[in-house]
Amino acid sequence: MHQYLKKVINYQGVTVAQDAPTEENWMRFVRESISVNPQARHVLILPAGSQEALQWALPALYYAYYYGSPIIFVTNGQVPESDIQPYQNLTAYLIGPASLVPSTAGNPFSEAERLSGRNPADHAVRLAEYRDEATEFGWGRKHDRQNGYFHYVVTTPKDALMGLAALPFARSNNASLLYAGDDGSLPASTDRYAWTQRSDWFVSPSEGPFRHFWVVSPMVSYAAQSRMDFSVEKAEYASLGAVALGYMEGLMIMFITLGIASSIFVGVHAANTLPMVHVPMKIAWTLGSLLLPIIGPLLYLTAYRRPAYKSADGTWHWLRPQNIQSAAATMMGFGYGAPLMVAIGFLFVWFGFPLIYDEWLSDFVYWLGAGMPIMMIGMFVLSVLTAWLLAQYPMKKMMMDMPEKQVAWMSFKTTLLSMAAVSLGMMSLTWWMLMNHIPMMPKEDDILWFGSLWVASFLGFLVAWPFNWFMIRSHLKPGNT
Amino acid sequence: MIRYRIIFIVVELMLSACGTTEGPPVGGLPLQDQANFTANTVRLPGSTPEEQAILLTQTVYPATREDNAVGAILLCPQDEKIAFTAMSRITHMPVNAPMLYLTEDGHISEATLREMRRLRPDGVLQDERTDVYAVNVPEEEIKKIKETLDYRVRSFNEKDPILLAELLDRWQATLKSDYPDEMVISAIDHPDGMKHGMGAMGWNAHMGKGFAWVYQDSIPAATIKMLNRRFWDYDSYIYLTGGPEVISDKVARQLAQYGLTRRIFGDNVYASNTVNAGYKDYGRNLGWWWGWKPRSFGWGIAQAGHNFIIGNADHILEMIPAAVLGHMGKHGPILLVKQDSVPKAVHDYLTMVKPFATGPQETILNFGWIIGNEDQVTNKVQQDIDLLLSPFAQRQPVTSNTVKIDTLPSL
Repeated sequence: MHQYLKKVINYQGVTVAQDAPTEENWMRFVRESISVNPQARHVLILPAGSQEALQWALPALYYAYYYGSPIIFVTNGQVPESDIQPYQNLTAYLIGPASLVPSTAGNPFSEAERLSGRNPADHAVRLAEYRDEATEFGWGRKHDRQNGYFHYVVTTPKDALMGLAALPFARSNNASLLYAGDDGSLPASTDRYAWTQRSDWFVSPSEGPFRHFWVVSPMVSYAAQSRMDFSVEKAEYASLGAVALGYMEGLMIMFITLGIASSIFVGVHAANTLPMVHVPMKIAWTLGSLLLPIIGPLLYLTAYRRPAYKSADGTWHWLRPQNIQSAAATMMGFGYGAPLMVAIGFLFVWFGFPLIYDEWLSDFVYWLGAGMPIMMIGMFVLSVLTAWLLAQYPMKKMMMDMPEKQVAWMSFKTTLLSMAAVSLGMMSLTWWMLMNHIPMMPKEDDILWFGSLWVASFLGFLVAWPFNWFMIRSHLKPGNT
Repeated sequence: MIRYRIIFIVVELMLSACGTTEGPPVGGLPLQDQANFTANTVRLPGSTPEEQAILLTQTVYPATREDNAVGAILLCPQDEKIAFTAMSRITHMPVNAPMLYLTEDGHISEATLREMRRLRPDGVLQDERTDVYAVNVPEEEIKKIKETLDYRVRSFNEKDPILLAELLDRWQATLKSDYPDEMVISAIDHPDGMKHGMGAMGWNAHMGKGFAWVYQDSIPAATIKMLNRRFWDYDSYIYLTGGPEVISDKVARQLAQYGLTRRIFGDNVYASNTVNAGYKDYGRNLGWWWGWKPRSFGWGIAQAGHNFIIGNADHILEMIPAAVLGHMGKHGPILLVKQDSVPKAVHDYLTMVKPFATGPQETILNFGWIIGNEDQVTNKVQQDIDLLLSPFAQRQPVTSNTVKIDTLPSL
């Protein structure tokens, strides 16, 4: 490694010691490799001697090599007097735990600060993140740096010598050092840090910055290397990729969580306080509230917390203004139809969209053969049929005193109209979100997929509400039960 | 006791649902170990097109989990024009398919089959969960894929590259519910037609725009049919890869009937590709009352902080699958070089985008993938490119005490 890198990273100003580092000579290698910056504002107090000392010193050595930091090795718990003299007015950084670098080692200097982690991996991350502008020490590569071209050399503590041999990367590529585990895995601190280094793209993934890991230990497992690679694969801003939690996904999760809470509230409340309301209606309110966070429970309370009377046939009616009657009537269709549409949409993406691209279709109506329109048509038709047969028809049959055929036809018409209105809002927003706003169409197991359909359903309700106002006015639907 | 067991099973299921990064090892495919590097380049040293394609998929897709596996695999014969057409239209998202080759005699080799198994396609959601796109792959080989790997295969059988472009255009338009208005057009009957268009092919693998062929002096009927399918008259944006000696002015004038026509070209194939790397065309595409969709074609890279795919102009079959490096990972345009020298156009371009120190503890960095073994791009060229990509002006004189290196390939 040492010889190879000396040949390929031989730019002017990038030199390391002539001989490769070994367990015995690694401190000499470091001294010979680092050219001290005469304007340095800090001095590094490093553990010396053992392999363990090298493991703790190595991350700091990368910065020292890059910057030209003066270094002093602690021998027998002491800092040699002759080494102190030129740097005693500088800030001293005690690198590593107190067992290797005692706190007294910092006493001769104007200021002293210890930098150490819980273990070498955590320690390396700490040094990658640390930055003090006053002392000019540290790489300052924190999670919120969106525009830095950061490279990392990754080795294991046992292979710290390999990491030291790769020191030229610190100058040629501004690489800082990170540790994998000795068993080849990624320790939690390194893993956590690697994921913070993913940079998102706004216009195109060819935009910078790019991050890079140089793995120099053969002990690092393929799975760990793959995970690091995946952690910095550029991803679009909306989701920050398949694993990380993007900002938009965060909003969606809040929206969905509120929906679940709303649904539980309405379900439990209705079950305990409205024994006179038919169960299918309570289910409609519960399912509807799932897709209408906050608004669902508010409409529910507004619909039922008002004077009511029992008609001669034993049905309860609430005295509601027409707007609330419309909302209640909308909810009866929406509560079954919208969740059904989401579920049917999910089945489409689960099994994959069908695709028809025959030549006869390809001039003007080619888009009819595409997955999204087919999914939307499927969602609409299947949800209308299911909601009509399993919910709307039986519900209307219970509530309306009409011949069976008439109830069937009327419930079909109202289901069709109601779902068409819901679809108008829902499908438009679904298309915009999945095909336009989010650069990469989310897969079936992405929060963004569910979130998009959830939010689209919300809009579907808002569009369907005024439509139902007219249906209430025309007595096509009841709105006061 | 039963209650504890149920709780244990539920917790176990929840934990396993959280996902894992452990996957199968690369077993038996040691090509990755052969990659050699400098500070700013990594060489993927394939010696044949088939091996190069495998090396590329190994590099880009670890396949240790669903999210870093491929969407699908593009399998195609070692036919330059067919491969060029297929890579232009199939690879891009949402398909996410790298290219693998059949053997020269049209079979799937053992190594390719093993790599197909390792890649574990997720299946293209928008296209019936297709796992493999087989372009002109013999029926018995498709049967082998289905039986051995249990993958879902979509076949495109069209020997004529011009008609294949039309078929793929139709399929892509349906897949995305849109015919892209930006069309790259290359010359099929010019000996350097593909070389001039290599960079633009890479852009298409990166961005999924349209592609069609023309002859030097005429336009095939299938290409006219494709252009007619674009929305509105004159509303396409056409990018010709090559100067008038590659695609004649007569053809350019005829194409201008279908939309704004431009050329991406330089004095030679090297310059055409550096022009492509720096090329950017943006502006109107489609506007309506409350919305608008601009066009944005080309990498437009004229500054430091980017990545490049660099290979030999004469090794077209090796370079075509390398466009996948512009589709995933570091993303960047293709540049062409000679086996033993960096052409002037590439030298000048890389000098323009050379990085420099920007801050007290960091600098902007470039990166280059070198495609092919030393028979295609020498180590000297790799080193020259490395220096051009680096923030350093020159190297130190080489010292003479270097010992023999056994563990890494020497430069």
